[in-house]
This record gives sequence, structure tokens and C-alpha cells, in this order.
Amino acid sequence: MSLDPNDLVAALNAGRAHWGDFAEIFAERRADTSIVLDDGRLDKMSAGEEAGVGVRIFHGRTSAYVYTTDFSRDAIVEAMRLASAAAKQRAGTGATLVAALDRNIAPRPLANYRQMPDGIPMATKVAVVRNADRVARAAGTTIRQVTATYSDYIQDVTIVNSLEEVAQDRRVRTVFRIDVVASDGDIIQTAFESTGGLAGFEQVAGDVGERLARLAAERARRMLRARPAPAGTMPVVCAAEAGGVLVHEAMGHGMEGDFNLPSKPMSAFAGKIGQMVAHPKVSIVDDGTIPGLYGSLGCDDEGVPAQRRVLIEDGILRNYMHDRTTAREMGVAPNGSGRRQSFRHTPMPRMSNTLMLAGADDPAAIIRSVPRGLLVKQMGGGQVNIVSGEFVFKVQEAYLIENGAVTEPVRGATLIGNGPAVLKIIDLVGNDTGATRIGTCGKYDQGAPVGHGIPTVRIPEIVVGGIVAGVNETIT
Amino acid sequence: MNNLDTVQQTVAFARAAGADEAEAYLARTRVLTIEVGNGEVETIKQAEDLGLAVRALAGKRMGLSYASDLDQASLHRAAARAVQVAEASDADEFIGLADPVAAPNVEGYDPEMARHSADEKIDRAFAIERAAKEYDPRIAVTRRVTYMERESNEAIANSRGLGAEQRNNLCGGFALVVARAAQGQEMGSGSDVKRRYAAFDPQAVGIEAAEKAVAMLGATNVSTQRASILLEPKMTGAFLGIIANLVRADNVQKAKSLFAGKVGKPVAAKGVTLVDDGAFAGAPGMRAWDDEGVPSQRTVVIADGVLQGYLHSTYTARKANARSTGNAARMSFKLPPDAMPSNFALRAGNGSPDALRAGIARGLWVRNLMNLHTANPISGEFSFGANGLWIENGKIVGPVRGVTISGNLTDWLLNLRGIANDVTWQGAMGISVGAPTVLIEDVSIAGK
Repeated sequence: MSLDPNDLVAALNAGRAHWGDFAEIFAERRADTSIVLDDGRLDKMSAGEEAGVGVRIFHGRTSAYVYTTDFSRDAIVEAMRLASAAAKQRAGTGATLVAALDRNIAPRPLANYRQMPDGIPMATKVAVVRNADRVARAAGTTIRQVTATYSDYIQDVTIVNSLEEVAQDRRVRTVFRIDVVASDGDIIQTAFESTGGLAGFEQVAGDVGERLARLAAERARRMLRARPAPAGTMPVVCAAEAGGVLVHEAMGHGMEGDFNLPSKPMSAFAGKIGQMVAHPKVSIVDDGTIPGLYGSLGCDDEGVPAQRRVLIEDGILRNYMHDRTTAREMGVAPNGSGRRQSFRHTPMPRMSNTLMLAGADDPAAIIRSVPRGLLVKQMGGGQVNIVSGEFVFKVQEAYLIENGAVTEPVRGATLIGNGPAVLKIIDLVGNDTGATRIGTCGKYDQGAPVGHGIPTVRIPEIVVGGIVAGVNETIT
Repeated sequence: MNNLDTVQQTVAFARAAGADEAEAYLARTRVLTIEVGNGEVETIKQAEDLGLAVRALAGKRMGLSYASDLDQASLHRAAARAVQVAEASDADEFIGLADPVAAPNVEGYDPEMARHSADEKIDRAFAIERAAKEYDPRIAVTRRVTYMERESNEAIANSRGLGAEQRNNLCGGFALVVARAAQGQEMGSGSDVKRRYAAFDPQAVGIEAAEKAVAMLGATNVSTQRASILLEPKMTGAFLGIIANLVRADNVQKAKSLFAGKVGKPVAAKGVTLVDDGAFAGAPGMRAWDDEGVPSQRTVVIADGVLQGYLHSTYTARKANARSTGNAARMSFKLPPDAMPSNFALRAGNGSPDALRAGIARGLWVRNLMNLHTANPISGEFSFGANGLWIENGKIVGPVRGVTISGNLTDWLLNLRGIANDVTWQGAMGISVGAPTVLIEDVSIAGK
């Protein structure tokens, strides 16, 4: 199971007859540990290693992808032969859609992980979930269930291609998550907190898990006395600690290169580079180079070094996120967005850490500006319809704003709006820096670790999906 | 070495490494995916994948490890690792492995799929795209137009003498299209999956995607209100995928299900019957045995609105002093099995979907839902983005989007007022569901 670039280059050369217009080998080895403490006991524990090689061959516009768990040179050459034959049998007529990376971009050194997870005893990892469980349960008798999850992985990748590019990266990610269920007998509420980074065990060392357990338990208890969120159109303030699901869903996805191809425009942002697409106070970057953040990486899964991409600068659309094929069609250099879930998957343009940059407005004044609306303190999962621009995301923690003051907590809110429209009407952007929260972004059939964050912002008008009061109100 | 020998040998390795009991599970998966666009092949993906999982028991503690290749050193390493993980875990008296029981005869493998050429399969993908484009001139873009096949060869063995093999395959298609007109652009998707090569109809997938996109052109918003919703079969299926969490015995035992303690009690409207059947002929999840080697069986979960029982794995069954219902499922070979539905279906009603629609005074015919993954099966609360067609007095008024529908899963089941006869099978939320068009009254719809 060699990830040695020399071996992979030798295999690539041995299969030279099958290169077509472009050939690439992606080799991966990954070791995972997963610990789930549920219902007061270690419920699921697993640890293991897997490895595989994916070979991609282009003939014209047509690519074929073959993967195998066999690392022998013969197996790799056979994969290249199969891929080449598959791509050739119905090869398109167009030019090959693969761009070389810009050689002026220096690859970043591999990240420096302080506490490699493979050097941490299982018992130490188990202690993280046990301590968190204990703290969460101690928060009160209304805490009915706790699930604490620890996971880490070490992923080594080597990418070589027929453009004579060679790249290697080591991604170590460590994640902790706690889910709490609270009930007072009538109402059940849940809350979670999580942390994760391109980092070793240091990400969760010390009292990190306990601190998050306390936060989650307190939130679940708080939500027990929350009324259902109101429904209808109203102003919404998203706090800096809320996380950036908003920018990820409503804006980020629409700026992925594959949704903006001139041959297949899908996104509302297609063809709008250089145009004003947002309020002038809005600037958004996607940055894969920030040390330690969950979505960061040394290079992407096509071997292109991670970069900081300015997506929107003072309201003007500047860049899309590209993999090699979308970059080629648009006549630009790939910018480090070609990611894949594993050797079993083909790369596509993905986000890394998507961040709205701080503005100049006072966060407290932003809240005071709202006569009646919603303050979002933590966002949950979201989704976007690229074509219509419609996005929706769940709200984990929210409060009513009445006459400029934060009043009671409300539960069960969802925000739904149109991404391009919301970008234009966001009119207040706080001078605070948002907490970067983590998530697993799903696109088509692949998951990718991402980060996101925003400063405090005001959306003057957006639909809040909640419960509509009626005569048959039966909320349990 | 054949697959069964490999898993039996791995069980022996785990025993030799100190396991009191052990189980090995091997899945070899062959995949073919053909993606086309604008009349050209974009990507062909083909591979043979494999994953082997070992579960070891050290006393009453269990650990899992795995390997992605089958050389002897890897099998030994995975076996030894599983024992180490078990030793770090917590003891639980209910942990155990499945006993050997003969599985039903299930025709899960269609040899036709291997008989047809790659060329013909590429044409199936093109047929999807062509059908979408020919449906309406406003279809401007097609994306991810895909034909796929998957074949799995599984083997399982454990130290209780269980040893089994099964072979399954399926094929399917997917399309995403954009309809564009002066009023704007809208997306539609189509998908289908079949267990027989001949049963798959590429045109239907293309037409479904195109019809959905075109029907949404000119969509507007509606005011915030309570009204009926009519769910098309795929949307009903999406709800069933979430409701399935309520009948998983592991969730029930961990106080994470609103159905805990409700066996024998009404939990749904009269007429609602939910059945899980792992061996259901032609269903996407059809299989002879589950991921612990327990034979597939038919389990009635809700009969005429009354909760009958839960879906069990070997562990949850031992804990409940019941028998496994053959519902153990591994999300990946890297993770231990959970109690999950296999083929989970809402029994068809009598009337047609049109007849249900005709009876709606005011409501939304829901044809797409967003943010399904954020439903909270523990509290039961859901709030989804929805779009579809607005109905007044039984007639379609026009397309609507940008609204949310919200409520609680328990009310969803209790407020089911109509079930049509158009049961359709699909994959939803990682399981296989069979669902008809349904009508639910008095739902919160938030809009302008």
C-alpha cells in the first residue's frame, strides 16, 4: 500500500499507452477511529484502516474513473487500461477539459499536527466522551438522554498526473459532538454542540468536551420553556456565534464552478463575474488555508494547493470555486476546490471554509434596530436549490426581538429565502468576527468537511417557517 | 479463496487473537455509473470495491475493525484490532451475535444486467436526457443525467456457526434539469431504481425531471396559513424515511422515540398500515438476510393505526427479550450495524391520487421538499422548505415556492386523511420505502 509518489509515477508511466489526453492517479490511505457513547454506555466503537487508488483518464471531454483497493503496479495499469477503453468508446468531440495548476502557487507545507491521534491511547479518547456525558447529565433532571461522539482520522493522499504534477497531503481531522435530549414530561427538546478541525487530538483535549456538553445541555433546557417560533415574514438578525450555514447555502453553493459553466449555466450567479450581486457591505471568501479550520487542506484532491478565494468583494462577484475541469472551460487556473469524499469518488468543485467578512456596524445596534423580529443564535442544517436560488436552513436557537430588545426564546424556526435576493438586502454587517462552525456538506452523493462563519448581520425581511396558530393547535 | 472461506477464516483469526466470539462480514460491490450531458458521455465510473468488517466479543464487550484488502496480514490486523477495540469498550449483557437460521429464497440477482453491453447502457443514459429535452422546448440545461448499476456479493460468518452468502443487483437512473422561461428558471429532478434490467424505463426518468421543472415556472408565494397538503409518492416516502426512526428499537430503548411504550395504542389515523419486509419482491432493498445474517421477514409495524412493535437487530432484540426482525443494517462496513428498516411501506388505499386532489378545498400539492435531513425524530418536530402546485376547490391554481411546512411527525400520522393507490418504491434517507400519494389536513404553511 504505497503512497510513495515515485511508485505512483512509475505506475503512471507504465500505463502511458492508456493516458488519453489526461491521466491522473489519486491514492489514499485512511485510518479512522469512532467512539459513540449513548444511553450512558459505549455504544459503538470501531477503528480500522482502508486504502485505495482511483484512476481518471480523459479522452476529449469524456472521462472515465476506475478505482481499486489493489495498489500493485499491474492493478493500477489495468485500471488505466479499463478507464481509457471506457472513455474512448464514446469519447466526446470537444477539447480535453482539464487545466494545469498555476505553477506560481507554491504548495503549502503539510500541516503540523500537535497530537497525532494514532499516538493517543483509546482510553484517553474514551475519557472525552465519558466526561462530556457526565457533565451533560449533571445539568439537571430534565436531561433525558446524551449521545457523545468522538472521531478522528488520518488521511494521506498522493496525486500524480500526466501534466507531471505531483502532490501529497496529510489531513488529520478530529471531531467531537454532543447531542442532548431534554424533556419536562410534555415537551421534548434536543440540542447539540460540536467542534472539529484540521487538527489532532489537541482539538478536543482538556475540558473542550465538557464545556460543549454544558452549552448543549443548557440550550436544550432553555428550549423547553420556549414557545413555538412565529411564522411569517419578518426581520432576522443572525448573531456572530450562529455559524455560517447562511453563506454556505444561500451564497456559496451558487458560486461553485460546475453551476456556472457557460455551456450549462444553472446558478443565478452564472455570467455575473464583476457585477454587483450583493449589498456593498457584503464580502465573502472561501479560504482553505486557515490553519486548523475543519474545511482546510494542504492541497485539494486534484493536487492543487489550497487557496483563499474572494467570492464577493464589497458586493461585487469576483470568483467562482473551480476544479480542473470547470477552470478549463472558464479559461482560468484551478483554485483548489476540487474535492472528493474518497478514492471511490470523482472530484468536483466544493467549498472549504466559507466566511462572510466583518463589516463596520455595531452588533448591539443591529439588534436595537429591529422593532419585531427574530435573533438567530445558532443555525442548524440547510439546503439550497441552485437554480431557483431558494435556500432553507434550520434554526437551533432563536429569540424574539421586541422593540429592539432580545426577549423570550422560541423553538422550531426555519428560515427560507432566495439567496441572490437576500444577498442584496442584507443591510447591516457587524464589526465582529463570527465563530467558525463545522459541518459535513453533501453535494450529489459526496460528503465534505467544511467550516463556515459570519459576523452579526441583519436581513430586513425573510420568511420564518414556524407554527401557524390555529384552532387545532396540537404541538407536543 | 471464495468469500465464505474468507469470512470464516477471519472469524478464526479473531478467535485466535483472543475473541470469545467473532463475526466477519464481507461485501464486494461492483459499480457502474454513466453520466452524460449535451449528447456526450461525460464520465464513466466503474469499479470493484470491497470491505471486510470484523466484530469481536471480549466477554460482553464488542469492538469492530475492518480492512479494504484481503491479504492475510490485513485480515489478521483487522481481527486483532477488533479485539483491542472490544477490550476498551463497555460490557453489556445483551451484546451477542446472530444464531444460524435458514434464509428465505430471494431472487435478488438479475443476470440480465451483466448480459447487456456498456454501449447499450450508455444509450440508456442518453435516452434519459433525450426524453427530458423532448418533453418541452423550455428545458435549457440537463445535469447529472446518470444511468447506474450496482451489484453486491456479500458473505457473513460467525463463531455460532452462521455462514451465508447472497448476491443482489439493481439499476437506476437520475436526471436534474433546468427549465427556463421569461419568468425565470426552475429545477426538476427525476429518479428511479429497479431490481430488473428490463423494468427500468429511462424515458420516465427524463420526463419526470422535465415535467417537474416546467410545472414550477412562474412560481409565486402564498400567505401564511393552515391548509391541507397533498404529498406525491416520493414526498410521502421522504416522510416515511424519517418516521422509520420512531420504530427503530434502538431509538425506542434509548428514549429517543415518541413511540416508546406505545405498542397496542393508536399512533396513526385509522387505515394506516406500515409494513417492513426485507424480502419484498422487486423492492430496492430486497435481500435474503440482513447485515448480521438474520433472515429477512415481514414485520407489521402499524396495523390500522395501532402500533404493533418495533424493528430489531440482534442486540435490541436480546435487550427487549424479543427476536430479531432481520433489520440490522450497516451504514458502511466501517461502522457497527443498527436496527434500520429494510423495505418500509405504507399500504395503498383505494382511491386514485386525482380523486384525493379533487377533494381539497385549499392546499399545497407538495412535489419537492428541502432540508429533510433537519427533521428531529426525537422531538418529532419538522419544518421543511416546500414547493409544488396550489390547489383550490380541487383545481390546480399555479406553482408555489418559498414556503415552509411545519409540524410534528406524530400529528402527521394522526392527521392522514387520505391514502391513494399509487404506491411507488424509492430509496429515501438511506433506506428503501414504498409510498403512495397522501392527504394531510391542517398543516402550518409559512409564506409571505
